[in-house]
Amino acid sequence: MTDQEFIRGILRDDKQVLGRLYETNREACLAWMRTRVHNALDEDELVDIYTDACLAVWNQVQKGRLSVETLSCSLKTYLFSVAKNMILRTMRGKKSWAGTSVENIQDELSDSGIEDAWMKNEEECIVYEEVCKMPFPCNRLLNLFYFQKKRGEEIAQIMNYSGPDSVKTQKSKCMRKIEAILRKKLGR
Amino acid sequence: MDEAERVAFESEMHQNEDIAADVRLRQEIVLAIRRKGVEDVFRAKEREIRSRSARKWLYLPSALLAACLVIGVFFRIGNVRECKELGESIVLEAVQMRGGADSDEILEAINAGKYEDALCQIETLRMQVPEFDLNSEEGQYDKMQFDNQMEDLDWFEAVAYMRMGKVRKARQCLSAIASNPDGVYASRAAEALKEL
Repeated sequence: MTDQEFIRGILRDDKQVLGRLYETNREACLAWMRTRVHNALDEDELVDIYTDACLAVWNQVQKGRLSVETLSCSLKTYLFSVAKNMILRTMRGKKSWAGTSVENIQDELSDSGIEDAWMKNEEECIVYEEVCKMPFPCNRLLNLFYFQKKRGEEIAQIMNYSGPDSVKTQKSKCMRKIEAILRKKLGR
Repeated sequence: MDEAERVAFESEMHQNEDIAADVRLRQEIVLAIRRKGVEDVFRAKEREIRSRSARKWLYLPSALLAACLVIGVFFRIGNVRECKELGESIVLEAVQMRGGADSDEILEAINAGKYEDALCQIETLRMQVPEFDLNSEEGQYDKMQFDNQMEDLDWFEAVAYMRMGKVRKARQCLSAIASNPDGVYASRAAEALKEL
């Protein structure tokens, strides 16, 4: 799959493409990270960083900051660079990191030319946190509608609603609920 | 919304900060919902990869064990075949028999392939231990005949097991025979053991 195909698939939230993006680069990226951190991070932490790096790439594509036209390197290189930034931040947060390892990464970062505009702002973090806290049926319904892009009739069948009008009503309720919570938290 | 409605709404949005803020919030929520969906995809993929990796580590030893079993079976089959062939190559002739007429029946049974019958008869004869008057010459002679017959029976038993392909049993019998250097069949038992 070419980088263009990956980016197009990411844009439309294609689950197969996303899965393939994750799987294709996983081993190489984890192996690369292991050589950089010298056992300062365990395997689970490295996997978390890798997952966050993939999410950051997705985020950049959705916001139009990463596209076929603006990509100056391969998607894999971009992903590795994002992972590199994340390792640095994670290692800084740890008290027992080997200073030498982090300095090596820092030198590479300054040469990389990849801006870390992928960092989420505080507001995005708050919104994401509330979305993750959403209970059933809102979390399922909104996932089916906005992520899986199912139609009202399909959602009604999956979730056992009487019809697409019930789905619309419930969706509206869920969105109003979370908007109210977020307006309070964000002080709007 | 159709095109006209959309343009009108966008115009209102530019003029009304509250509407613009609501729209931005809605967009952020939708993006967060989609991001959560993507994260779930990645986490599921990670679980799948780990599960595959764990299964590989389960399958590998199982496959190795299966391979060992297959090789072991083939090895054993080869071993059994060789054992049978060796047993068949040993000629059990009347000239070797020094015991009584019972031995004739056992010999016939073995040569006819009725190994279980032969073994049964051997066992029966072993249990029949007569008393010998070792003070008399006749008693001593009878004892010697009896011992010869027992030697013959041990040899017959070993050959029967070899012809049946029972390698382990044959080895046990041959080892016992070979361990008595004065025995008539000791050297032949030792040769047969080497081949097994």
